[in-house]
Amino acid sequence: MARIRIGLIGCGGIARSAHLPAMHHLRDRVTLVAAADVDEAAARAAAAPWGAKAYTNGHDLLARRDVDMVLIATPEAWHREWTEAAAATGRHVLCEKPMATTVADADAMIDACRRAGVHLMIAHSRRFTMRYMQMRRAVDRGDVGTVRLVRENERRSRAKRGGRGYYTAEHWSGDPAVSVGAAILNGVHEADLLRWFAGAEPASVCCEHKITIEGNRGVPDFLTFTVRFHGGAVGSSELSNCLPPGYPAFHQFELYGERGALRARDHELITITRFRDDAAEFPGGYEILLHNLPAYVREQAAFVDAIRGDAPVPMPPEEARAALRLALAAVDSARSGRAVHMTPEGAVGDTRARA
Amino acid sequence: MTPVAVGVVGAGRHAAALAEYAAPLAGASVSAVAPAPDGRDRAAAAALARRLGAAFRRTWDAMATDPALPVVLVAAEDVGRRAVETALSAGKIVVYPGAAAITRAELDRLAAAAARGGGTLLAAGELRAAQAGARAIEAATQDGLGTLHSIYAAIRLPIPDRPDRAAPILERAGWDLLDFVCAAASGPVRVSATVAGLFGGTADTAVIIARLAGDTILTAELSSCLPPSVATAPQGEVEIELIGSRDALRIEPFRAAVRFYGQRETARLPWLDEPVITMVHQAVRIATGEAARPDPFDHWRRVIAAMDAINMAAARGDTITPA
Repeated sequence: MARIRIGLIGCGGIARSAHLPAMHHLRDRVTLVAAADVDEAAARAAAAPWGAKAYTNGHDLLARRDVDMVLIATPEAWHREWTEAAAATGRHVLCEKPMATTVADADAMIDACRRAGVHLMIAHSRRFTMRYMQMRRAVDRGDVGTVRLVRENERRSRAKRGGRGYYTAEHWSGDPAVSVGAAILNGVHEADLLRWFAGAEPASVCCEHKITIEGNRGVPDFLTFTVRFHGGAVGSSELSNCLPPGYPAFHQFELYGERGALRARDHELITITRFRDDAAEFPGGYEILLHNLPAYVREQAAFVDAIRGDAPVPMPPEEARAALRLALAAVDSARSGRAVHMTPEGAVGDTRARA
Repeated sequence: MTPVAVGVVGAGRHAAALAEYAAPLAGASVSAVAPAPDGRDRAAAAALARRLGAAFRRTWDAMATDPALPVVLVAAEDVGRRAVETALSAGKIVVYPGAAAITRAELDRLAAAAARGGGTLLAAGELRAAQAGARAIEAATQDGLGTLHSIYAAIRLPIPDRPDRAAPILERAGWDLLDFVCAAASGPVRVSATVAGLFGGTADTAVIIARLAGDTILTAELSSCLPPSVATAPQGEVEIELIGSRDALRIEPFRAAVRFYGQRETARLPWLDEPVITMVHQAVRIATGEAARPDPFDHWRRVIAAMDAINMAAARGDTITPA
């Protein structure tokens, strides 16, 4: 079977660290034919290993005839624009999370792809992370009974002083004109997981957020929120991006049901710690943490299989839209200082990856 | 140097912890034990006196006013408040572990008794009094972490045999939490709280988000949610993380402690020494003039105000701004 020809729009950090390596793993099924980024050097670096063409404008990439699928890895503020443009030229779209910066943009993306008859999937990598897949299987088997309480915390370290880390003045995520902040850049993962595992739609959300990173130009980088779901389950999440540089990217997931609990706490999974003069390293535990390549390989493979088999995508875009809606409700709560009450919008959908 | 004489009222678990300490108290000795004001633990108090090699007093009131006992430990929870008030009126240094529910009126009475008799109250919950908790508070309040951005606290207790009869989680764990938070940072200026019965109780789970004075954000999850299959369920779990602009501090007592696996249950594991030992040692330092007398009443008024705000937010189902 012919390989799916990918055009990559946005060649920054997530493309370099996740999507491009995943493509190499799937090179019998995919090939990169073009890469575009406003940063020409980034586009060239992404394209070169594949002998692909580099562009500084995504529209030039879309003008090619040999692109089957567009992988959008730009900041979220441009997701709608590139999704609509790709759909208009008949390309399937795998788009990085968060889906968009507004629910209206998410609706427009879904509508554009539906009208064009192309697949759209938002790259919610956690749904393809073995930890969560296994837990979801356990929930589906009824191992813990009805889910009552879910918590997912995320800890990330800040950049070293003067570094170009997330939410710093030098990074796009720290630009208020482009970035909503941690609520959707990180928090859409948490919103998705809470909703997915609660198996219910949110009824209300309370949230506080703040700026913690030195030099941040006004984008909230810390977030904590509580969700009350229809049916009574409760979810909570606190995520921070300002841990000291020696602190690893850790997640703490816990789920308590009527008949038992499921827990995956990174602090408990670390088996070896190496203390250096400026940081701690965890060589023995890193492979079992979340930030592993297999999740991105599974995600990309699932989308490619959907294209090849003309089957539904494993995570419908409506699921990503629901996660975005919850994350944005959290932002509204934080900004207003009030609980935000939400009306249900249909059942919580499936992800085939869990099966 | 003559040890400071300590009298014990009640034979609750804090008193038992003295007997299990298995080391001499620094500068103190337990001289007498009396039953709690309701008299229910008379036999246990007599047994405790024998174990400690102390005199057994039949009634608490004479002991609480005995001039030979500068320090009185009241190990009788709620019923012990009469003894606390009496001892404060008599000028004692009163150790009252356990941050149990207390009303403003009760606190005012204790404050008046202390003012009247010159007594000193040392009252703290386990989180604040434990060595790990005390170090965390010290780090937070003495610039050990930089600007304190957030406090995350999860307290998980086992699902009780009869969850429908269990006290609400805020009563069981909320006072301890707020005692710690108000000592490490301050009270809330904005708070939301979700209180629900998720595991068979009427209010067995509480999730609290609060913006504290000073702009620290508190996230607290309290729940009686641990199934028996979780190894730490018998003693419960506490997880606290303080994130500052410079450093972060994480307390995980459920992992750090040495565990004893018995035939039927996991032994209860203290955070290093039991908090009551720390409190008695502090009382001794006060009695000998090595430490200043604390004024705990403003702190406890903040704790009560915080609890009121949480209850109000939970009842309204919205974020509230305390007066």
